[in-house]
Amino acid sequence: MVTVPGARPITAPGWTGQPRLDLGLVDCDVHQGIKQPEDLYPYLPRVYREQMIEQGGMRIPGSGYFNVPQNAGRTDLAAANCDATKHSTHKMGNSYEQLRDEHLDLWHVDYALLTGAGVYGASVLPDPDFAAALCRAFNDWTMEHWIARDERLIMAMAVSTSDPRLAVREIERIGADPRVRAIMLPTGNRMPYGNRFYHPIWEACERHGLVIGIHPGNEGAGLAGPPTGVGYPTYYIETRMARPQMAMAHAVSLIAEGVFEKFPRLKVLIDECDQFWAVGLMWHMDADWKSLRDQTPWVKRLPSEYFREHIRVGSQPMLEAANNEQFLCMLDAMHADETLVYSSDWPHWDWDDPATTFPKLPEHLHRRVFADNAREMFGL
Amino acid sequence: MATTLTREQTRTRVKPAVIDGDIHNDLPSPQALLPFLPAEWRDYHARFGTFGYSATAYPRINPNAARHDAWPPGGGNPGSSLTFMREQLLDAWNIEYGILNCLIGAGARRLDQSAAVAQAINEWQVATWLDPEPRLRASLVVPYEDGQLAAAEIDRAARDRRFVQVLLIARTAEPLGRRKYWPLYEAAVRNDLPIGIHFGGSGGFPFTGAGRPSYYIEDHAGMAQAFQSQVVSLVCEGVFEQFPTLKIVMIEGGFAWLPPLMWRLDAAYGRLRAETPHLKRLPSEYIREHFWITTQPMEEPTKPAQFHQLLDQLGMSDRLIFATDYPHWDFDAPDQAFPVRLDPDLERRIMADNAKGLYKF
Repeated sequence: MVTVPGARPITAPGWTGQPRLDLGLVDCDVHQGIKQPEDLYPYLPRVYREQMIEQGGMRIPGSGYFNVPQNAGRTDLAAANCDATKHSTHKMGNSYEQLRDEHLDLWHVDYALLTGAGVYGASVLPDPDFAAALCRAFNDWTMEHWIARDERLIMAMAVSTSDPRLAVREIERIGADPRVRAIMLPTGNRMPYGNRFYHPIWEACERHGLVIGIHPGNEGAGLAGPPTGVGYPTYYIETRMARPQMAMAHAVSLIAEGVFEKFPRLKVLIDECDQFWAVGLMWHMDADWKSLRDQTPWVKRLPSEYFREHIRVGSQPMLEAANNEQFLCMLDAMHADETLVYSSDWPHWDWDDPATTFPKLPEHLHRRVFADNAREMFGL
Repeated sequence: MATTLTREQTRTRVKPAVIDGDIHNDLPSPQALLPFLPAEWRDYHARFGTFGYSATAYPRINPNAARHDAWPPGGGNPGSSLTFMREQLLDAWNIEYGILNCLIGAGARRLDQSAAVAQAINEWQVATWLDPEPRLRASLVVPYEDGQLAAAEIDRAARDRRFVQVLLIARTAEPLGRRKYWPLYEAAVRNDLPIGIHFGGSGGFPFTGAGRPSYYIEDHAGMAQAFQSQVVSLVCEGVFEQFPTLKIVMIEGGFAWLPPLMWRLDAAYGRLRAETPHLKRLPSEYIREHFWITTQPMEEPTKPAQFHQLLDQLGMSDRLIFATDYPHWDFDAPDQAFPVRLDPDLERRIMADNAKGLYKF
């Protein structure tokens, strides 16, 4: 029985429960968050500090759905046996020391990508200048309070898409920093990410070797449309089920708009949207492309080939098939040795620990999923 | 005189009869509907037509999304000539029963007009399709954005048992589990009719949660997402607790996405059940009990063996119903629909028996 904090009980036969300490571990989704809006004040122009004071915070739009309590934090980390109190914090995900002790050291993480929290919503804030200022402040705060303190941390910088010119300016400002390896965007937005509106941002990302990260955030909120193509559902669980749909919409859009022909070195990381949707989507798109490719003649290869070369899918939340055979068939069908990267989603309640999330994988596949795919994507 | 047998004629000799779960009939002209409209709507409809959200901003692959060869020699839209449909589909492929899913919109914004159009389409289907052709059955067109009006049309028309299901569309104004649609389900259950949800439609919103894409291939590949939202909504809203005998047929939505969706939904439900205490069972149990799926268009796995894996993961081989989608461009021919050779028993179930069980043929 695994006794590591947060490792879930093993339910499926053949699943190891043992971390593979010798094979390398890159975690593509670790959240760092501010304790309170005041944390960003030193990094913001005065006009926005005053706005935040007068209007009570960052004005990040919400979508009004249920979530689990306590900022969706891991409940076990708040329990006494984990001694969360020693980390001088009352919320999950806003303490570097806790990340170091309870995650990086504990699991022997080689690299962890900081993906942020809350600021995804900047892209659907009505005011594009405020959105850009928030991202810039959050980036400076992250560099000073997280990146500077631990060599294992790399960063997906916050970027608002609402004014691509400002997004490019922010990438030019810090994108050349070797610790910045990606930008981070929300799944919910006004247009899917293949649209030409975004191409100046992608051009800057390619030039700096930055991965385009996409993570659930502000779907159905702010200037974004409803979280599904059929309107607003009722329950939070439905919005979770909509995440893979938005992941599919972005993947299809990036491929169909020819983004990877135009920017052949670009990589895209889709985090926390599940993973096996990639299988049906590749099959479906390949079949459609055979009939419809004269409408998008710049798409020169099978859509699945672009997917396998350019799109990486974060593993969390990892699904359990009815049995291991079906699970391994799925990994094979999605070309997991190319497309799948391990993500933990630290420190959220539905996180996936590195030990019990997968059944025992062949060593080659284990290395690809837990380290090598991510190393190649980030150039580590 | 020696004649050359077409591929269709050859196949007819060797194939057992099949049931086609998705055929599209169309009006020969807009005026053809007028005699069937209630008198008070005839003049309005002739002068102004209907207004609703257009789902056709993207160029279809072909005009009317049709096969090149499906335009009737005598004129009119593909699917508008019964004679030609007999020749090209029913006789050619030995169709024992075929289900008409008429896609002439009943999704008008003006709901009372939508109800009048639905009634007229159903009357037109009886007079020009069901009466002359005993092999055809039809789906009831209903004004689906108004649950009460839709229920009234179901109660009116379902006395004719040649209507074998109620037709909805994948992209609605709200997810189909929302309560505004419940009177429609209540009427379907009361009249012992399954609900068919067909590819297409527009509820007016961007059709992805990530906004509006640019190209038809995105529209087409994106339809599976609308089906997913509808499955999730119907399950999570407790529709199947409220209507335990309700049956749903997903038409033209594919199904390679369904096994991972069941795994995903079960896993999330296991940890979030406090949010939906009205659910009593695992989501996948509701899905496997209440859903049927038509086959066309099937996703095409990279390796044929993966199709068998998919059927194994799906665990719904008794729920698959063959469909051609005649006369549309992505038509599936009965002898070439599957990427693998199926076990003969399984093939017979998909080609006919599953549909016979569901539609009580």
